[in-house]
Amino acid sequence: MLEALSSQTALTHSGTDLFSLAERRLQWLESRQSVLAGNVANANTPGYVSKDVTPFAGVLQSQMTMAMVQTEPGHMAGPGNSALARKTTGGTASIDGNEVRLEDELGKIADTNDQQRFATTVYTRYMGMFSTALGTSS
Amino acid sequence: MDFTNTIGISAAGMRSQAERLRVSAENLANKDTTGSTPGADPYRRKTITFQTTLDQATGASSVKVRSIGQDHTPFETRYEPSHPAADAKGYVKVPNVNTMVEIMDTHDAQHSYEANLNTMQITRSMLTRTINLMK
Repeated sequence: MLEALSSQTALTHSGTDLFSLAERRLQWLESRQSVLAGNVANANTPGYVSKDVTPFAGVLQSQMTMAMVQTEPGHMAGPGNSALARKTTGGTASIDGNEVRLEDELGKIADTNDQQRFATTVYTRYMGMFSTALGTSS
Repeated sequence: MDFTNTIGISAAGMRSQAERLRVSAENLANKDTTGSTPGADPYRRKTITFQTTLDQATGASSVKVRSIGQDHTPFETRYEPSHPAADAKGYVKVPNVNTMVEIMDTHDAQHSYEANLNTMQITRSMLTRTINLMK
């Protein structure tokens, strides 16, 4: 879906490439939401440690280098968009070794939701500027 | 990574929690189910455990029910000689179901279910916003 949206990004070479940036941001938020949903789903799984994705700044840097392509659906994701298991501060695990704190996860999900709303708004506004320049109503 | 997959993960979480609620309800419903022949075992409490599953396509972790097992805590006995399940000494074995434990489990399952439901709703609104970009 996002790939289709980005097909016109090649047209914009001047200034900050906001379309491309917004697209990568949206992709990152999409994968983060997936990982956070996994954390919530595993809130009662023994021994599960909550995960998060690499921060967006890190993703931007790693995308300057070459990333592995997934040619088969069975392939593992490349290092560019890998979810890294991050141990939360010790001592909070419950008796079964589960380290998911539901409040933290829901907070992160709300945060991801806000950031996604922000990114889509920026995208829409920028698109509106193009419409204005083209003389069509937005 | 796709929002549709993410909704699927939340759905898997809700399915697991619903299963847990069912097991808890079974235990509560059978908390007085004794045997019918002298010395027979009463209802044995059921337990449920979850397991993380890795979605190979996206690398995200989903969840499923690993197994529904049995609680091997010994049964308590109650002196009631007239009961059909009473042994030679007049003692009846009663189920190893603790009502308090089951109620706490039910509450916990409900909270986790709601958390998954909220996550699913947020993912849906994110998906809607992405679709609206095409307008």
